[in-house]
Amino acid sequence: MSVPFNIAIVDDDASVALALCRLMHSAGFEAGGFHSAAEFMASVAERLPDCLILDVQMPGRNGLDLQEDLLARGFDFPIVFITAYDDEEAVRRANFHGAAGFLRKPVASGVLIQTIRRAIESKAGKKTQ
Amino acid sequence: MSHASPNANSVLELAHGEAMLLAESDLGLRKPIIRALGRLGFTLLVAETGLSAVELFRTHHSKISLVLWDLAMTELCSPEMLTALRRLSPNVPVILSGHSDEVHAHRRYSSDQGYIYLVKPYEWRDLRAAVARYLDPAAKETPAQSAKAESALPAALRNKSIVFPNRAVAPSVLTKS
Repeated sequence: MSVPFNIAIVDDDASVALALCRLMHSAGFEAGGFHSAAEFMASVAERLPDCLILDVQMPGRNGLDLQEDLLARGFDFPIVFITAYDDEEAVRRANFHGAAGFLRKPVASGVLIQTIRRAIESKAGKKTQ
Repeated sequence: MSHASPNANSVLELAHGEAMLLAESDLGLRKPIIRALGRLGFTLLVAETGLSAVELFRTHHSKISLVLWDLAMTELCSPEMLTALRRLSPNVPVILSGHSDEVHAHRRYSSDQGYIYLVKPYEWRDLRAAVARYLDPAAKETPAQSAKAESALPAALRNKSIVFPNRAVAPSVLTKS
């Protein structure tokens, strides 16, 4: 029996994080929610996610800051951003740092799950090259 | 330590490290590059036009150890500006970035092959790898990375060795994976 992929979700809106956790469970993933960049950073080393769903706009360190913090610390799991705003600069900043996806809220569940699966598969493909 | 500004001609005084001229016309790319290179500890001289880049280089060339040059810089064509840089500092390493057609044209017609090319859109890891080639000559791409970078290019760009000033290396065109 294969181990389900572990998806981390960082969103300061608790209701969104909970809804995304439930969606991930329904898709056969394990999932854990975090409400801030700091909360996630404090525990990321304990269990590395296979993919991170990351809200862009958050109080304190925002999602883009967290992406750069993770890269600077050598974490390279795929990150899929979700945002409620059109922000081309944010998209380019995220892509420059290797974002696996950048999706606009409200995100269709099928699109999100597909993006996550592709990101995990792409990462796995890179590892085997 | 001062914070990075994306504006033209801003100088980032970072704690230590080598000085680098960043000549990039695209603000949306310039800002994340500044942040990323700043984290590496570079002292950055930043220009958004070709003329300002040449002027910055003229003033500071004795301290500049690396140049990242956008082939889409305006005002003068890139070969003229690069010739001006070479006159001032013949051996300064230069990383040229551009879209595939710009890289293709430059690589085909440039007589000076002492460049590493970065094909846009590139990611931070690609830039970091290119910079690492200068900071650490022993740093090399894995065969898989090299093959992937080469296969992403038009046939005419593949398998062309680049000779750096005072340093011979394998093909080194980097592109987004």
